[in-house]
Amino acid sequence: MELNSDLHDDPNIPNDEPLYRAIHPNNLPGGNISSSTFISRSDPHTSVDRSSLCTPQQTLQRFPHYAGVAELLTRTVREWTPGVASAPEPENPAHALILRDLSLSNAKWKEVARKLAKACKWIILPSIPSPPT
Amino acid sequence: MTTISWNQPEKILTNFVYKVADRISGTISSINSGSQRRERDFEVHSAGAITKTTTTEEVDLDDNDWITKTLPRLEKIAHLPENWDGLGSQGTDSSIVQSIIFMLSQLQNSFDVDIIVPYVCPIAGGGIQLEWTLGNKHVELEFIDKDTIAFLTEEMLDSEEKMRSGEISLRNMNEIRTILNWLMTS
Repeated sequence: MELNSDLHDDPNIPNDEPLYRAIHPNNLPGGNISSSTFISRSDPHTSVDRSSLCTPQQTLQRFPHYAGVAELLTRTVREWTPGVASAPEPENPAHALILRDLSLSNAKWKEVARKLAKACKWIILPSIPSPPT
Repeated sequence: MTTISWNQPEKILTNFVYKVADRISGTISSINSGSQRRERDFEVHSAGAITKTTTTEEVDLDDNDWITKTLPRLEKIAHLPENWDGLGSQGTDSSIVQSIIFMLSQLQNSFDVDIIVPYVCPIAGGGIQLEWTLGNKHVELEFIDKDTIAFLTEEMLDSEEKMRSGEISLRNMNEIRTILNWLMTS
């Protein structure tokens, strides 16, 4: 398993803590969350917010043009990835990262991203209709 | 001047390509079905580039096939601005758009059945993914760079998901056709 040296799973984040992820309306095929939510060409890791440190409303407030907020259990994320790293920012102390094993190929990461997308549960439902498929 | 280039221009000089190039560049604001007279403003160079010129010709346009129906969404994603995701993403990589145009042009008239229209998703950092879901089957084609596609196929069998993934060259159209034929086969 290969990670950035300064990033590691944070054992202080309990398995049963939900993680919030704002969902962009461009990533909602047929109203479902796309694996593309968890894929980036520029940053291998995925930003989420720790539910113990913020509300889903606060997550959405930082992305007002996003469709809604979904949650993933930390336990689920750890099942398929190297874990969740705390990454607090001055304006967002709840910020954390879903870590990607950098040795995984893009294709193998697609499988993980698909599983993560399917495991998401809506906390704030989209109010903006997604584009037609 | 608008230039669109790819690897095998001689194989894809079809009305379709002109139509796509028009739409992506914003030259033609609307496309009507049937044969119509309009300006063709691209010409092909030996190096594989299509460059704007101005000529007029008869073209046959089919608004009813799945490829044509994919274009409006592709056009929208192609023009995403920088920071569209609020997380600093760059705009869509134009070479990725060109690769998708190339793939679609190679796939036209390739199937005996109607392919459903894919959903075009942007990938943060300038990428694009095409997604199809039909019944218990799901296909994703993610354009990693201008020559490489990461694919995912998924089939739900008795509540168990069977996934397959890999990377294929954009030149391997047979593999792409095989994946889409698998999707459309019950």
